[in-house]
Amino acid sequence: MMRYDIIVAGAGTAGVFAALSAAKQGMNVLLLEKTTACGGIGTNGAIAPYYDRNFIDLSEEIDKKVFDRQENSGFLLPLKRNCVSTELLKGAFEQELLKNGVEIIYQAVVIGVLSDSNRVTGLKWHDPQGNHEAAAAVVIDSTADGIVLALAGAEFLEDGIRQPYARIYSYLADDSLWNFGGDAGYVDQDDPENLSRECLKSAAAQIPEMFCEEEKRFLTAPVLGLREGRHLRGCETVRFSDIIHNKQPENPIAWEYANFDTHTIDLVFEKEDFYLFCVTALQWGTHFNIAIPFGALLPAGIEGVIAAGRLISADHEAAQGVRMKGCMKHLGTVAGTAAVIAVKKKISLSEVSVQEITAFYPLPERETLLKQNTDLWLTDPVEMKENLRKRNPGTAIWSAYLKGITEPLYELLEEPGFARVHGAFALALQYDKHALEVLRELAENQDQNRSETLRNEPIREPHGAIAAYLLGRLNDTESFPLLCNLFENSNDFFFVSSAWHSLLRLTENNSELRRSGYDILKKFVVGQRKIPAFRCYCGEICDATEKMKSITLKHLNNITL
Amino acid sequence: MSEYKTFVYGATFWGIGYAAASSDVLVVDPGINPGHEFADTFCTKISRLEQLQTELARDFYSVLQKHNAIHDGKIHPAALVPMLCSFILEHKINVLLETVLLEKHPVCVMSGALKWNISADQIIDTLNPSGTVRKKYFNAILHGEDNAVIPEEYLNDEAELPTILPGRFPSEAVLRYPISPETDYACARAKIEAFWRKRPESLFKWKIAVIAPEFYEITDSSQQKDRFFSQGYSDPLLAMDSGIMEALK
Repeated sequence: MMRYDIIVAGAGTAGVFAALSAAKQGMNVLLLEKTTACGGIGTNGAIAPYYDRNFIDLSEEIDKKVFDRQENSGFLLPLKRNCVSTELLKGAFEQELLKNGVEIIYQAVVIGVLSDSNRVTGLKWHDPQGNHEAAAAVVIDSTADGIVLALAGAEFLEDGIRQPYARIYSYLADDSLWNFGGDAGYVDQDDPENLSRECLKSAAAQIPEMFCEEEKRFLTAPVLGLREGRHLRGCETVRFSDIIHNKQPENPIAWEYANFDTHTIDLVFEKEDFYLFCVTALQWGTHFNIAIPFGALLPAGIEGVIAAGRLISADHEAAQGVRMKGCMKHLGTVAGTAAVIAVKKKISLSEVSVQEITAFYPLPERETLLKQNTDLWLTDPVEMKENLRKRNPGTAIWSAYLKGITEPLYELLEEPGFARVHGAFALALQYDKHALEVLRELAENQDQNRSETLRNEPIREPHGAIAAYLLGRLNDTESFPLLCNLFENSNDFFFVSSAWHSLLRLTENNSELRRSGYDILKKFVVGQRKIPAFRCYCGEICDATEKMKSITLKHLNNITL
Repeated sequence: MSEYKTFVYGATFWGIGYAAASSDVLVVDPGINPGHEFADTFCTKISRLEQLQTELARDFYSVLQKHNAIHDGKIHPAALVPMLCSFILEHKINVLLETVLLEKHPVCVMSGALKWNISADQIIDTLNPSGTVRKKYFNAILHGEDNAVIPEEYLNDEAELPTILPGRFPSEAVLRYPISPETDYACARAKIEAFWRKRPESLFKWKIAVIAPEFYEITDSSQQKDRFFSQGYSDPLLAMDSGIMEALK
């Protein structure tokens, strides 16, 4: 049987950097990739830009080389924005890998693991030449969806929620190459039928009335724009609540700087703290320094394998900040380096120390990054109030919540316009019932005004809908008839879903409302009523009726009348 | 174990055509783009309506035409995937994408971390030729700037030389770049880039937009022997037409 020091499964960004970092340190490395090129979503998936990195990551050697080559080439159609060419990047990755002695096998699908007790000792794969297997001291799972770990029997976090996916095609725009990356809905890539249906549906939805020369298309990307899949249950986990409360691990192996880039539109179905953060407090664009602990790459209870990619141990919310290409480079480098140390010292991966890994590349100073996170928030109540009066209240709502500021905000409730709305939202986050009067009024009037995020973009949820959601948080039993009315009669998805969410809570928490709440919810579950549809980013009409019925039914089953 | 009368490997034009005219068929493909054997190799050639023998293939031709995807015997390659996806949905064809065939006897497939067997009376492989690969091409879509014209010498149909095939639109063309059958993807990418960098001045107005995700292969077997191999047909509609006729036999 063939034997390698390290086998890397998956040649996406993380896999490439894992293989490279290991090979550069003298390891004998095999890289398996199911498509015909390296780079994953960053090449085959046609996602050329780096999110929030001014489009080019020139801090990195390969990108720099590629960018210099494409600038001077004259043979490639230029990219519309300042990005690295995905075509040149494919070649640059594989030349760099080959130069460093990495053996690459394309069209290779992992079909099994070799194991000895709880230790992964190699991989089985299928390629056009047939089935093969090879042993390795360490296996790196960079398959994004954790295929190796799943085959090894690893446990995964059970969030059950995933980000919408994108179906991407490249086309001509302003005499340049660009990519349309419209979100296409939700997909469960672990369910072959659902995955296939979504692939077909999303591509068919992109048929124009007439194909034309001015916006002629080049290619439907052969890789789906999946943002989320399985999350490993690791020895440590990156958690949203820890990040927003700045409780970061002591000895991280990487720092990411990102916002929680959610593409979800129906945020009412997400966990409450995420809804409050993104919708009520308008914090979608806020960037944090996010520390990733080494244990997030290590599967609990399994040795010989390490994760590198978006499959690391992170909850669904935190995962939205640690899934970008820049982060994948870091994770790949860390996994490759850790594997090298384990092989050279003949120790298990869990015995590798963070200090040894980070000795290979300096990390920014922890206290500085933590302070940057802390400095995001306002501390002066006067400044908070000033900001709460604006259409874009910046970070004031969340600052008031974090700092426990309530009384100074009461006077805002008497003011007109956005001040009283934002004041009520900030108070409701803190369960302060002074907010009730304003919230009831907003919900009653189905107030359609919308506040703006830090990026000055109005959010989709109108004030009245957010208020309906917060009435449930405040357990406002007096609003029960109002919420029933909104749920049953509104024609707006956001009002109906917010009122529904609050009805679920009120019905569960208040025995006197249980019977009537149960009846209304039951009527919805067994009835024919369709929830008003809403538009996805790509323009597709989304119907949440079945999803809401399913959640409601589970809820009703837990209610004792 | 799931059971089907026919198991078709490859959501190819041949395979989809066959499934559209049959019942109890499961089509499985390792990729996510149906019709990739022509779409992702940048085929520009398309049959004329009168060359097609089946109604289903002629209907598909009409839909392509309605969406302005074909003209004068040429197809806009990027139209093929979305249009074939729409065809599959319309005809309610059983397709599993991103699913790999591991074994044929018995049929064993895998998608993600799931592996399972399928029982089928008949197995048709439309992806892998039974003959050996005789010629191989690595293609690229070109965009012509400022009313670029394809020089006469590159319009040849000489199999051994780099050729530029005109596309559906005047500014669209495909570089058909011959490579030896044993060339791998890494080597092919380096070669096509080097060739286009050093192209003669007469081609300067033509820029590479995208390089094909797949090789285009021609085998040495006769079409009669290898009639299931979709890429063995000279264009996607002929392959689809043949698949449909096979089902109607």
